[in-house]
Amino acid sequence: MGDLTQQLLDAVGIMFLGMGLVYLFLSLLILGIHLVAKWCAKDVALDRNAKEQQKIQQSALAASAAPLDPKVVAAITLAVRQYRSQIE
Amino acid sequence: MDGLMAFWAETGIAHFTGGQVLMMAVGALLLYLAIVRGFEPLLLLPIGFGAVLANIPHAGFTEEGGILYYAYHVGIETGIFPLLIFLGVGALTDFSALIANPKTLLLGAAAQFGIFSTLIGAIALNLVPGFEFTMKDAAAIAIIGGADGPTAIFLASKLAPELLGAIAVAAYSYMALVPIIQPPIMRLLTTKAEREIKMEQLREVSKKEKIIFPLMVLGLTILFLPAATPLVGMFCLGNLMRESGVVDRLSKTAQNELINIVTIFLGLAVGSKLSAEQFLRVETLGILVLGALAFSIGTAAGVLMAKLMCKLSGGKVNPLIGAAGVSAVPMAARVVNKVGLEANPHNFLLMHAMGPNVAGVLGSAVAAGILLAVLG
Repeated sequence: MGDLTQQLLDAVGIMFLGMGLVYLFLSLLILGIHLVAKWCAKDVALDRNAKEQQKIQQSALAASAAPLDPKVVAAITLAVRQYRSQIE
Repeated sequence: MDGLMAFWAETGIAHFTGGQVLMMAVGALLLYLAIVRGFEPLLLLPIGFGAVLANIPHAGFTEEGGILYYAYHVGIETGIFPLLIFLGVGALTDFSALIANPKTLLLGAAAQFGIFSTLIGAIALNLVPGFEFTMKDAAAIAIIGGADGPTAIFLASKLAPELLGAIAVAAYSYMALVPIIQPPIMRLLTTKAEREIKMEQLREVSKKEKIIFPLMVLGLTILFLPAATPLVGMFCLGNLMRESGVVDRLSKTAQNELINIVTIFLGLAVGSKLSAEQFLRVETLGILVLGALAFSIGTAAGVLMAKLMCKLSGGKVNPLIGAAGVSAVPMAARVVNKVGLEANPHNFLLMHAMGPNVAGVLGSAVAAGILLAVLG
């Protein structure tokens, strides 16, 4: 029985030690994250600008990749007109 | 006739023991839960099948030379499988929500109370005749409260290998039961007004912060808790591969092929520990009860801590997100979101709950490191 009481006391000790250390460790991490966040404050805006520029470039690329050839447009228009006149 | 007798002597029917049949039924139950009910199928299916294979008379799966014997010997006894899983989990984890709101790390810490209080519970259970848990056994059982399968297996393989089967099954079963166990506790400890609290949108996080984060976690672990470096180190490696953006191929392998292959063998090897002589003991019952207790206390501690943060912040924190501190990623965060939506159909807490959720993974790895350092 005395042995069990000792074990229980040990377990309580480990509980306080463990919770204390978990809190200490994660609190240090919180501090670290805050410091890094301060240091990187400008990077968020830079990242956002880079992303937006990439988007603009991509959409510009997509637009320039498929220019409408006036000859093709004319040919399709003509074909459609011919087809409709055949139906009528 | 002699031939027929010889054949009969080699059949399974002639050699079944009651325990084996019962354990095969347990395996079948796990298969049912995985296939029909969809509970953690990725793990419960191989574990269930492993349990069936391990109890086949004369098949020798778990004896030296059998595949399950080697899977266990190579992957679990050495602690390699849980560590490889952690590499994959690291590569799958996005820490943005946590970096944007670092205070949620405190919730991940609070939920670890489930682990440490169960340590006392496991020792107190020795008062009941039939239980003789040592402090190491108690620590291995208590880690179930971390709701993190790989961590539980890693710690159990180091501190109490003979209890590993029961601990792994309990850990994964309770993780699968998160949607059933957690909501009543969450509702009991919060008022409707608290559950309705909307949280501010999280800030954007830069790429540099995300790259520095795993390195910082590793640095702190090296300095203060080297015993946790196997788990935390592999986790951070996976996360750095993901966030650095320069090794996409490796990151994808860790997230998919590697974690999948390891999951198959991890499941089978854990299932192999569900043999009748190892599992059908009174200790198993104790482990299942203590595991549920650890999980519930962890959830409650997380919610209570979040309530405290709510009070201190003047009502800016929804206490529900504390429940996600028990890890079980991403199921616990989804449960928080669901309970939040029940209270207020326009309140989406998922991203806010991901912070404490991934903090819980770190918290339970740190708790495992502490237990290893103190008792290992």
